This record gives sequence, structure tokens and C-alpha cells, in this order.
Amino acid sequence: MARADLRWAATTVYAAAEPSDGVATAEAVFTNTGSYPIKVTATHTSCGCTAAVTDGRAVAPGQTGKIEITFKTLGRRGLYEEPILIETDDPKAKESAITLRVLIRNPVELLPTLLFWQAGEALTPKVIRVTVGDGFVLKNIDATCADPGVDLKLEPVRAGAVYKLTVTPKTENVKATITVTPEIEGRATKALTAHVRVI
Amino acid sequence: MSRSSQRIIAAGIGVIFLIAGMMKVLDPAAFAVDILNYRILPWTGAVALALYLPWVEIFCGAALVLHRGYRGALCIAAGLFAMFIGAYGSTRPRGLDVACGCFGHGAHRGYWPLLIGDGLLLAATLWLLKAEFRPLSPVIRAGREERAG
Amino acid sequence: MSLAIRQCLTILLLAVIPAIGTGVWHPKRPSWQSDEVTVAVARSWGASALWVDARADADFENGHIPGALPLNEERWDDLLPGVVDAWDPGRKIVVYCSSLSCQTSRDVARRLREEVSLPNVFVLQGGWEAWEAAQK
Repeated sequence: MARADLRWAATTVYAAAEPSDGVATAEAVFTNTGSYPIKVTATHTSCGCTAAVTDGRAVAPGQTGKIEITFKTLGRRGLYEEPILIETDDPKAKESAITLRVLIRNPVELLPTLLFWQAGEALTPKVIRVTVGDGFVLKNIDATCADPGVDLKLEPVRAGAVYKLTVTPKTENVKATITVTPEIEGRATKALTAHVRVI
Repeated sequence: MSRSSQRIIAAGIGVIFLIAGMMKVLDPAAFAVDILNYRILPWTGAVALALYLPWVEIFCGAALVLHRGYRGALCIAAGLFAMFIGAYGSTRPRGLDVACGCFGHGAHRGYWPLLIGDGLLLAATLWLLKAEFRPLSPVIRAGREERAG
Repeated sequence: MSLAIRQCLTILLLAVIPAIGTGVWHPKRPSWQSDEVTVAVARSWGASALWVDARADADFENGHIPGALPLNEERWDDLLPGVVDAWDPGRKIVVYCSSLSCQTSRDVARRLREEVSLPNVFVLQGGWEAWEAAQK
């Protein structure tokens, strides 16, 4: 019996990008293993951050087609998993689902981005870990805080790769922002912020 | 290698477990989140493991340092290393970027250094286990079991 | 071999006791509940709930849970200080987006836990749709 059939090269596709890239891109490739042409008629994503676009052409038996997927990276960080529903014009293979997994990382990461001391808690030093991503060359790094009530000490754990930013508030009722400015070779300098609260 | 060298190596592994366990015990909620980030267990599983695993490490570490319950501790240590290598080793192929959680929340060493380091520790543990189960004369074995019990 | 097994079991059983104690008394013990809460549970928290709206700015402007603060990923760096200022350790953060199927609230909740290291971060089951339905 004549039929269409759609086989995905992979039902999970991967992408990686930095937040400043704007978009991460991936491609989902399928092969028509049936005996008559098949066309992707619609794609559905779970959020406005993901777009899945097809060229709309019918794919002949034995040929491959693809879905171009883009994911907005601005402001995002971490691992995202986005389901995408694909609809075709074949009633027997009407819908299929693929998953986009995207890892968004900055060249330099701060963890955590908030340090807080509760009321009555001793104002002992706490640490923000500064990590330089693999493949990035750090030329210089600096940490500042406009609030004189906060002491900062930035020291290498592994020079060029991992740093320890020790933060010590000197008084209570502190609401301050720390700015960490890494200079990465070949990239525009982008400052990172962390918050200090002594409640 | 002499018995005393084996004991030193075992005690070293024991200290690692003691430190790792004690640091995780300080913040089990954060450790549960670290486990969850591996995306292997559901939340309740991550919570159960976050409460239980640090204490297994502490008791296992103490057993290795004090040379009490030695064989059992070696078996558990080997199992823990293997489990961790499997779990952490699977993160990169799955596209995950996890803070290891090995020595408390936020600890982050490089992917390969961590795997290689733990691989060496697993190898050392297995070697110690092999030395323990080496055939002995019945007299010596009986005496050792009595001391270890 | 049987000695090794006995010793293994002893260690594994011994560890159960302090593990239970940790689960009952440790000040930083994790909650057994999953990170999702219903509208009814979140409302029962009263003023200790800090509502965080993970939707786009335009959706927030069109209507939001009373007292909610916006925090979407497009403007994460701009909006995060507002959430940090409103938070204190006694509050439970409830993040919502538009509906049951939307993922944005989970992403924002994840980042609040992982990057900002905030405890007690929950996701509202059913999102804004569930809140609106509960008002009827």
C-alpha cells in the first residue's frame, strides 16, 4: 500500500551559544522513507523563544528535508529543552515531536550572583566563584563595588580558569552591586554583576 | 606493596570521603538540586539521595581511616566512585553543564580532570580490594577477619 | 566475601539513622514536595509568597497576579535586582508563566535556584491561566 513515512536523523537536536549571540541555530533533518511525497505543513513550539521553519516544499521518497530551528539567546543562561511539534500532510504520519536542547553560557560565569547575610548573621566572608569557559583566554579580570561597606578580594584558584571572589560586608543594611569585568581575548568586554544584601 | 602502604592509601581515600560527606551534609537542599541537575533522578529521588549519600560517605570514610569494617567500606567506596564516574561522565554527552556537587554545592572542577581523578581513585580502591581478597593461609585470614570485625 | 557483605550492610544501615535525622531537623533540609505548587497552596502562604511573573513585558502589562514582580529572561539583568530587593530568606518565591504547557517559569525558577542560589523557589502549576480560573 502506498504510504508516506518520515524518519528523523535525530529526535533531539543540540545547539550551544552565548547569550550575546542573539540566536542559537540547529537543524532537524528527516528522510522520507515512504513511497509518496510528504510535506511539513506546520511547526509548533512551546515558547516565543524558539522558531522552527521549513521551506514548505514536498519531499520526494528517498529524499531528505530539514527544519531550521532558532532559539533566542539574549538574557538566557543554562540548559534549555524545547519541544517542537511537526505536522505533515500525511494522515498516517501527521505529527512528530523533536526536542531542541540548547546550552547557553557566558565566556565567564559568576556563581552565585547573590550573596546575602541574614539579620543577626555574622558578617563572615562569602565567596563567588568566577569560572572562565573552556577555549576562552582571559587577559585580565577585575572586581569592583561602589559601596565602601563591602570588601572584595579577587584571587586566582587556577589562573586563567577559576577565580575566587571573597566578599565581606563591613556593616549591616548593605544593598550593593559588584561588577566583575573580565577581558577576554578577541571579545568585547562585558561586565558581569552580582548582588550583595545584608538584611 | 606493604600492608602499611595499603593502609595509608586506604586512609587517604577515607579522608576524601569524610571531607566530601561532611561538606554535603552542610547543605542537603543544595546537594539535592545538584543531584537533580544531573537529570537522572526525579526530585524525590534526588532528595532521598541528598539526605542519605553524605552519611554513607562519612561512615565509609571513617571505616577506611580507622580500618574497621574495612572490606565493606572498600566495596562501598568502589561502588560510589563507579556510580559517580558514570553519572558525571554522562553529563557532557547529554549536553549538561553541572556543578559537580562532589565537595558541596558549587564546586566545579574541569570535566576531564574530575573523571581522571576519580578513575584513579577507583583503580586504587579496586587494587586495595584485590589485595584484601588475595588467597591467604586460613590462619592469617581468620586472624585478620577477627580484627576487622 | 560474606564478611565484606556484612560490613557493607552495616555501614549502609548505620547511615540511615543520621540521614533520617538530617531530613527531620537540618535547617537546610530539602522539601520532599516537587517544586510545583497549586494556586490554592501558594495563596495559603499569604504575604510570605513572592510572586514572580516570567512572561514577556507586554503580557505582564496586560495583567498579572497582584504584587507580582516581572522577571523574564529577555531583561534578566535589568529585572533581577527588583526581585532580589523584594526577597528575604523567609519568603517563598512562586514563578509563573502563561499556562500549564509553558516552560518559561521553569527556566526562570531554575536560574533563581542555580545562579542566584535562592532557596524555596516554586513554579505555579497552570500559570496565569490557573490563577485567572481560580478567581472565577
